[in-house]
Amino acid sequence: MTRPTQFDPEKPPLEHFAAYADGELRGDDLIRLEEWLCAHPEDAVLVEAQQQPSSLCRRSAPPEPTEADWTAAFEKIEIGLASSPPVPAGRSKGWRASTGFKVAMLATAAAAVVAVVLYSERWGVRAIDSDQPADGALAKDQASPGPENEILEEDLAYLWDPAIPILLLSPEDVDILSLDGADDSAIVVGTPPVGKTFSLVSPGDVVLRSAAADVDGVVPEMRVPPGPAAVPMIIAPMIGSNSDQKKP
Amino acid sequence: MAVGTARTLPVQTDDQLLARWAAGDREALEELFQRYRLVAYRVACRLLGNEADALDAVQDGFIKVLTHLPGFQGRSSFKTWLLRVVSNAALDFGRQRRRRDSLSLDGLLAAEREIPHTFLDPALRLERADLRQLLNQALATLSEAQRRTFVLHADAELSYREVAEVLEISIGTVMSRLFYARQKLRAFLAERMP
Repeated sequence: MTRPTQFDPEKPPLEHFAAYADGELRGDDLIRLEEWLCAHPEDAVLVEAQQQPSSLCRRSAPPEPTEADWTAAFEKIEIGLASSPPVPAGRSKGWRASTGFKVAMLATAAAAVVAVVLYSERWGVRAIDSDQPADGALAKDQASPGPENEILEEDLAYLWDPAIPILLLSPEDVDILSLDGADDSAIVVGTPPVGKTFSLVSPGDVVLRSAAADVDGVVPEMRVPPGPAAVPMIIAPMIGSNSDQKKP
Repeated sequence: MAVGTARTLPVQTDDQLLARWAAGDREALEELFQRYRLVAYRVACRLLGNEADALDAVQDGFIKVLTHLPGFQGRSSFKTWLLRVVSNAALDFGRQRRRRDSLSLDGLLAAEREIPHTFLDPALRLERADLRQLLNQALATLSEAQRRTFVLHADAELSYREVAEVLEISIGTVMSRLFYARQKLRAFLAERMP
């Protein structure tokens, strides 16, 4: 078993080796890294290691479609555009606001159930860009649902239908602040379906940055696989963390 | 020897082409498509791990971007926005495919069967397709965020700044994701390549 490399405060951050390999390091960082490499030539392997996968990528570019494929694709785009008139600038935002709120409501409902299942006492993601209370910012702080925003029965059915995705956060929506061994019973932020690569974090370990759909209307989603192990995967406190979700 | 003067038409910017298309010029759209179809296809292909759905992802991406154009203009370049949308579409297709595969398990089993026999003989030269398949499998070991960052940089040849713009993350995060993605890729590949 190899011993971990001793931490050297003078050593440039590892990601600078990647940036150096790509010719993206500038200024003082560049000087510092070059000086380090002069003094520690053995670390040149870190730079070389960064170059290999990119080089393989260039050598294995996928075969280009034929011109006939491109033509067919272009025709489909034209047909698609003809049947989807341009969305005016204002509509996207409106959609985000109403959908964002609905997402928040759905997620809250899901989270409440999850919280019960997990018996978690540690809910409380620090909300940012929000005038809502940061701690325990769950359903209790949410305004009563109005006619536009009330949770319909079909929405609840939607939450529990294992065949239908549940709207969720993507890893890009949160900053992970810490991870430790006690996090294994907490929530999942990661790529569905659970069972492959994912990160386990507890609510206190993340800062929620956004909870709205992407500009292209794609909302991160997660499917609940069958079985009791499927439960601990929903990040709850979407409430009050995004200005789009506030009631007008 | 006759000397001719080459006449080159000035290359129009994306904004100019978009303006022409908005005014009803079909050729402008075709030019935009030709300008970015390959890079979009490469990104979609690599994120999906196959070519079958990649063209669909590219089509979806173009349609989404162009139908939402009025709400987006000025926020970033057309190219970075297109790649953001195409990569989202590709990841979506990938998720749908995984769901289909997980229902039957056929896809997963087939994927497992696909690699090893090719590399049993270390003297066998890696063909381009084999290399691509191997790289796709290596990419599948990365998190979605790492994979996307790597593909946008390596396949789309975007600068760190452009990758940061596409993913709406900091350049520091791009650096970090690339470093760890490539470490992981290298470790995976080292075990399987002669």
